[in-house]
Amino acid sequence: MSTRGWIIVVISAFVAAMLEASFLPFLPSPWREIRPVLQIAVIFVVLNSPRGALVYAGIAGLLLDIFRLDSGTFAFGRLIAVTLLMILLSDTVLTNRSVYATVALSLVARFADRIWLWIVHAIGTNIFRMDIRIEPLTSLFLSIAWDIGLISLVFVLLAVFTRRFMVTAPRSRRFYG
Amino acid sequence: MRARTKASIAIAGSIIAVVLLRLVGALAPVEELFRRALLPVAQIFSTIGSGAGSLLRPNPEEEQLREHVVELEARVTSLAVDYVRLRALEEENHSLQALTGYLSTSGYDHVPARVIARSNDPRSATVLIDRGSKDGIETGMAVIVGEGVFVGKVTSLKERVSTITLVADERSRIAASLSGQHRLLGLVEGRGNHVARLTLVPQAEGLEPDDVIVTSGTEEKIPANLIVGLVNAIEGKPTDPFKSAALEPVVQADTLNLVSVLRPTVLRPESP
Repeated sequence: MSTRGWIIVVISAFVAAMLEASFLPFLPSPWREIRPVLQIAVIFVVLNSPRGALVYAGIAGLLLDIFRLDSGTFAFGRLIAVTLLMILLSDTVLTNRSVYATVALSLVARFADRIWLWIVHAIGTNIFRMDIRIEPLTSLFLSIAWDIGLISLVFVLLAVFTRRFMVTAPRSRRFYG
Repeated sequence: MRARTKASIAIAGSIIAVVLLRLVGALAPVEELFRRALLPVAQIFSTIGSGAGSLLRPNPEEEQLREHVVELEARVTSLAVDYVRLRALEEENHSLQALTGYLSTSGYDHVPARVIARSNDPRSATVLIDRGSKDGIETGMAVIVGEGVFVGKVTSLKERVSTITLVADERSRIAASLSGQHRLLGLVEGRGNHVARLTLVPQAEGLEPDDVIVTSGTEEKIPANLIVGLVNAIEGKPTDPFKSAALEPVVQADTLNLVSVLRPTVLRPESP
C-alpha cells in the first residue's frame, strides 16, 4: 500500500472513531444509531486492502476504547477480530465484489460484533463483576438498516467514481468493436 | 509454519495482550496520554454534534407548547410563593450561621466542564466530561447546570475526564427531600429513558404534584437544596407503607452541553 493509502487509513480511522464516540451520540434517534467504524472496515476489505483494514480497525478500536462510554469496552480486540473474520470470508466465501456481497459482509460484521459484545458482557458481568452494558435490540435493528443503506450507497459511489468493481474493460480500452 | 499462520498467531496474541493489559490497568498511562492529546478534537466533535442534535431534534406541536406554557405559568406562580418563603428561611439561616459560626459563608467552589461524549444506550444515562482528577474532581461530587439544577454525580474518574451518571440512569440513587424541608423524604431512582422516580416516601409525608424535589444533603459530597425535579403523578395505595411519584426533570439530559462540578468545600471539616 502506498504512503497516500496509509494516510487515508489513519485519517479515516480517526474521523470514524471520533464521529462514533463524540458526534453521533449527541444526535436524536434514529441518527444516533449510525455506526460508521465497522462499515469503513468493510469498505477496506472490499477494496482488497486487508492490511489497511486491520490497521484501521486497530486505530479506531483504540480511540473508541479511550472515548466511548458504553459498548466501547475492548473495542480494540473486537474490531480487529471482526475485521479478521471479514477478511477470511471475503477470501473464501464472499469472493465477488458486488453490492449484494458487500451488504452480506457488512451484516455478518454487525452480527459478529454483537456476538462479541454479548460474550464480553457475559464474561465481564459474571466473572469479573464489571458493569458492561450493551445496547438494546431496537438499536441493533436501526444500526443494521443504516448499515445496509450507507454501505450500498458508498459501494455505488465507489463504483461510479473509481470504476473499481467493473468486471468488463472500459469502452476506451477494448481492442475489438 | 506458513507466513499467514504466523501473522494470525501474532494478531491473536496482540489482541489478548492488549485486552489483558487493559484489564489490569497497565495501559492507563498510555490511554491518558492519548486522551490528553485528543481532548481538544473530542471537544470540537461534541460541540458540532450538540449543535447538529439541536437542529435535528423535532419541535413539539404548537398546541402542546401552548398547554406547556399555561402549565409553566401555574408553576411559576407556585414557585414564586416558594421563593418568598425560601428567602425568609435563607435570611433566618444566615443569622443562625452567624450565631453558631461552624460553617463558612462562602458559596460552593465549582469546576466548569463540557460534555464530550454520551452513552447511546437509553437505559444508561451517562456522559463524559472534559475535567478529571487533575482538575480537583472527586468521585461522588454533584454536577449541576444553570442555577443549581442537579443533573447527576461523578461516578468514575480519569486524570483528564470523568464519567457522570445522570439522575435518569438505572444505577442512579439520590437522597432527596422536599424544597424548604430539611429532612430526608425519599430516594430518587433512575429508570432509564430519561425517567426518574421518587420512591420510598412514607405515606405520612405530604406530597403534591408540582412540589420541588431537592437534594437532601445527606450524601457527603452533594450539598442540600439542589433542584432535582418536579413531582408529577403520585402513586401508592393508602395501605402501602410507602408511596412513589414520577419526577419531571427541570433540564433535558439530551441538551446537556456545559455543566459545573461542585466542590462543596463548605461541607468539609477545615484542616487544622
